Amino acid sequence: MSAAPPDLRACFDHLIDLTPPQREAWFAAHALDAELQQELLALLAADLQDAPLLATSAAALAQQYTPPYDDGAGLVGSSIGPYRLGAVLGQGGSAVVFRAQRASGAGMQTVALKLLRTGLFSADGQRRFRREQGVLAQLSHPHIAGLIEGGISEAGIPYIAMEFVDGLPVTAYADAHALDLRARLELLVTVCRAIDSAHRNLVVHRDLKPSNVLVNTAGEIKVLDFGIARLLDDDDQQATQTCAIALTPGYAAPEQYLPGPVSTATDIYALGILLGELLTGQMPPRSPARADLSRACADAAALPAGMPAAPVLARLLRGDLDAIYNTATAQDPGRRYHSAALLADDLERYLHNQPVAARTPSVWYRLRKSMQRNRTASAAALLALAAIVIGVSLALWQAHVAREQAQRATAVRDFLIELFDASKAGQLPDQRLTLDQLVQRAGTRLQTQTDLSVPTRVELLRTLGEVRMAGSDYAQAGQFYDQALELAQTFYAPTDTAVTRIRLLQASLLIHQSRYADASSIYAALLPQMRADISAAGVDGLQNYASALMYSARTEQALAISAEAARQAAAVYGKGTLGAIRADLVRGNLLVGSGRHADAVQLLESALQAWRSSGRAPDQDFLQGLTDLSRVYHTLGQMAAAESLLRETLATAERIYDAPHDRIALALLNLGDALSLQARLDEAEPVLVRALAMMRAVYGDGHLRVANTLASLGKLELRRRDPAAAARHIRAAAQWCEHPDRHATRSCIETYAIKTELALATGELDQADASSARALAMAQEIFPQGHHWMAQLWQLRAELSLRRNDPAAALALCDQAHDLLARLDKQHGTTAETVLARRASALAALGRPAEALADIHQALALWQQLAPAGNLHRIELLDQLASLHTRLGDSRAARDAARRAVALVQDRSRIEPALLARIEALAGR
Amino acid sequence: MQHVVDARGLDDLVDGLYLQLRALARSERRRGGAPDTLHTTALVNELYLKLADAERLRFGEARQFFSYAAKAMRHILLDRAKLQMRLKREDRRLRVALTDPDVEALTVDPAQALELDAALDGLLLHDPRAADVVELHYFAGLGLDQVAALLGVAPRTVARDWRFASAFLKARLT
Repeated sequence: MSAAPPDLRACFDHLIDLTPPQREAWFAAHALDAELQQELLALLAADLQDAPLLATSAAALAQQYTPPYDDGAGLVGSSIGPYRLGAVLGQGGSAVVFRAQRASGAGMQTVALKLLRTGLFSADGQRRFRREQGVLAQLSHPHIAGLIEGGISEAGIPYIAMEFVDGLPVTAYADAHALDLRARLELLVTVCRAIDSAHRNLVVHRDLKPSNVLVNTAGEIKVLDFGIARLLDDDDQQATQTCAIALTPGYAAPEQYLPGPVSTATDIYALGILLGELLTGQMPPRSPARADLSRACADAAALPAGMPAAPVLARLLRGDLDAIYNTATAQDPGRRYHSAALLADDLERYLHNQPVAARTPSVWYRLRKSMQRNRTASAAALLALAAIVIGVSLALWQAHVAREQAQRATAVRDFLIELFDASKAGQLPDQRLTLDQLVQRAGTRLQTQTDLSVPTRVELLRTLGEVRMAGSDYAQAGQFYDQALELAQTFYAPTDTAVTRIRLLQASLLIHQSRYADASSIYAALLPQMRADISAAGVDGLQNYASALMYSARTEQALAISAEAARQAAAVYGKGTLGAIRADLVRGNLLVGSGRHADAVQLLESALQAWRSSGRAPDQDFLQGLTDLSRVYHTLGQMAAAESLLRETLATAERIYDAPHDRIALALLNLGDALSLQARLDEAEPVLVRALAMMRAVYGDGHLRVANTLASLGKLELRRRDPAAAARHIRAAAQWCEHPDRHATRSCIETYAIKTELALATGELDQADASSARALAMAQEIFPQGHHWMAQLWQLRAELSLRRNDPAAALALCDQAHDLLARLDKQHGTTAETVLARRASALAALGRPAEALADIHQALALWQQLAPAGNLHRIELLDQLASLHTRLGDSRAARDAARRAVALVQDRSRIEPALLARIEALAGR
Repeated sequence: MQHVVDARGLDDLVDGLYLQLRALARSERRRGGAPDTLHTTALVNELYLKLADAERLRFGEARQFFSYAAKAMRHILLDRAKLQMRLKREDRRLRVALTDPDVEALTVDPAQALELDAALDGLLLHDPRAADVVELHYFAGLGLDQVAALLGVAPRTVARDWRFASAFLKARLT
């Protein structure tokens, strides 16, 4: 007893068995420190006391402390903030909802006013309420009832004013209108899209149920109470983290009962339950194992109006819809659809009689691919990461894989999900980790955390590489792949698919880095594996190989491999199936790239037509096909056909996706560029401005796509001859390319070309020299076989030479450009026109006006065809023409040309004063 | 050290807790909340339905279930006690019809519930197992023998834990 320092519990246990005199003796014999002795005496005294608190059970006490509730009727007619309360619309455990009005302009605005039963009394609680409310107020979507304002009344009662929706719960609406299966599913798709839009704004609903999903009198879906549950959490983080207070039994996901934050997966679960309720008319059965709607409806007493009889309905639900329901309501959040959009997509696939993702692992694979391709920044990047995680786990898990693999998938998912914790959707934006930080953290952790198995670490390293690749950080992606490969080679046979997958990714990374020849060699080595792999991965590999070959100027070989890829696609997916059509579209893309314009038109037209007539919902591959075809028409100088395809692309994208979305933004950008190229600048500007706003919303500032859009706006201002406005956009665009670890990309070539134009327009010749040299170096690196941008850059450098009084060099550059365009079969585009005009200037400066005259005539004709509205440039061409005629002594032709030019002048401030004076003088003569 | 509670006894434990939880949930409804209200108590009810299926409990989740139920109860008690304190303390202006309290009916000063909560944190530092016993016995409402079975220790040990814990806590109540 004397050896160890005496501890409170040990002393207490000893003393409690002693009589009072024995205790005194014990204290006398042990020299305890004063504090411990005092504490012991206090405990011994307390031991004898009764405490009503501990005698009552916690449950009974909690009940005693709970105040009786009022139904709110007494408040009708009173005012809260600026609102006058009307009838009670609804009751909840924590709030009463009133119909309320306030004066708004001349009339009255009706709102649904939610009044909390218990106040938010703490300063922290009130602060949080105000902050959250600010986030919600930004959530604007046609199918989400908007938050009008939130406030705290004079009496300290928080209130939330929301858009008032006069309608029925979606289930009641469907029954009242006796909607059939299709109509019910379509309603739910709309709900999913609305939820997805909120998720992309990082707001989780947390309490989805029929009474929060209304259909108004106009038949429109309105989701109520978005994020309100979170708004109502009082107290500290503790409350949100460990006690999931705000939820509704039945719709609440399993993880809401457990400690930990909620995520978008929670809403997916509720959507699944809603699906079940809409289709069977009752809350679906809940069990930890798989539950099928088809079985539930067979057991149902009464089915909803408009739906077929039980046996028929059960047959309809069996299979796809059961699978969709089970995927949405999986116990494990990681196994659910990772976004509401994917659930909506799957429902739509069902509606279009396509295979649903919930039943086909290969579709998951494709979804994952497309996620990687298209969602690469900020919140979107996290979704991509999540998609990969879930893709990995599902791909492994669904395909009847061995237990070991399933465990690995789970380990991978858990590892990554743990990383997400700090950056989950639903958290405030400033608290989220960036993708960079997240991947950094994962990489570091993988090196220290060696308790994961080798296959798991290989998979994680590879996944991290994919994420980095999607984020355009190729250097780091390469490092991850190298590490993954090195580790994989210690474990797998050289021809194992795990190794092949990494090598395929390395090759596609090289493509991204424009190292096409290197990529081709890897693909060449992997050709036997790709040929043997009759799966989506094999097809993708062959298609990428074909691209790599094409860009390394081995066009014939590229087309041969591409044909092989198309055959393999037909074998994997079946002839005439969506997969085969997709493969044709990819091949079409290749044909466009390799300049086989006629073949490309034929293949793309027929693939797009097959798609349209199949009645299948268009998706991004279809959009890409439209864009490719429009590019061909543009190259062929058929501007009207190109434009109409771009408009179809935009309309389709807007139909498929909710704005803001990168595909819509991209369609806007392409259309804006096409209009701008045709010098329809006033039409182009609003389109590009919209594109910019959407790119920023999707990617955030500082992303490549934002830079591209800024460059397009810069180009537009240059075409308006407004260098000051152009400079603002172009400088902002160039920032992306000036970032130290960026490598050469096509976008940067274009940006530096535009920068060169700007510098020429403002007379900064050294700057023009530097920018064009840089762009040319990049172009030569990326396109060793030549590209029309080089022609553009050469003609810009020709202008530079002319300004520096070296017309001979200028002519040489123009001839070089001209020959390149001829070789690329690009003699009908805007670049060809500019080269002709520039060549005419060079010839004129060399004293060869007759030859110049031929070029100018050709340029004028081409310009008429490409941009009938392009008067500013036409005036410049006519001025050149007039000058040439003057020099050739044909004053009559000179005067005609000058008069044509003068007639086109509208805004004199847009035209260079010397030029204006010149043509006016000539015209007046 | 996984102690396997015999399934039969476990069902009884769960049922006992369920009755308490259901009483709370019922009183919640009497107070005007619709069946689908947002409230912890109604949820604890649901929690029972979720976790009570014997299949899962046999997989060793009983401890987790009761521990979570106890935490939920502790949170509810603290929450309600704070509410009572505020309602007593706050200016009359703050007392709107929606939250008017029935102060007379209280037998235990809500301030004590707050003190208990703080004291329990102190106990956890001194003697984590004794704190577990308080959690399971006082908050989750399990009998001491049942607590012993769940924790996998002798009933006598749990009885001594409870005696120490209650002396510790009572010494800290004013």
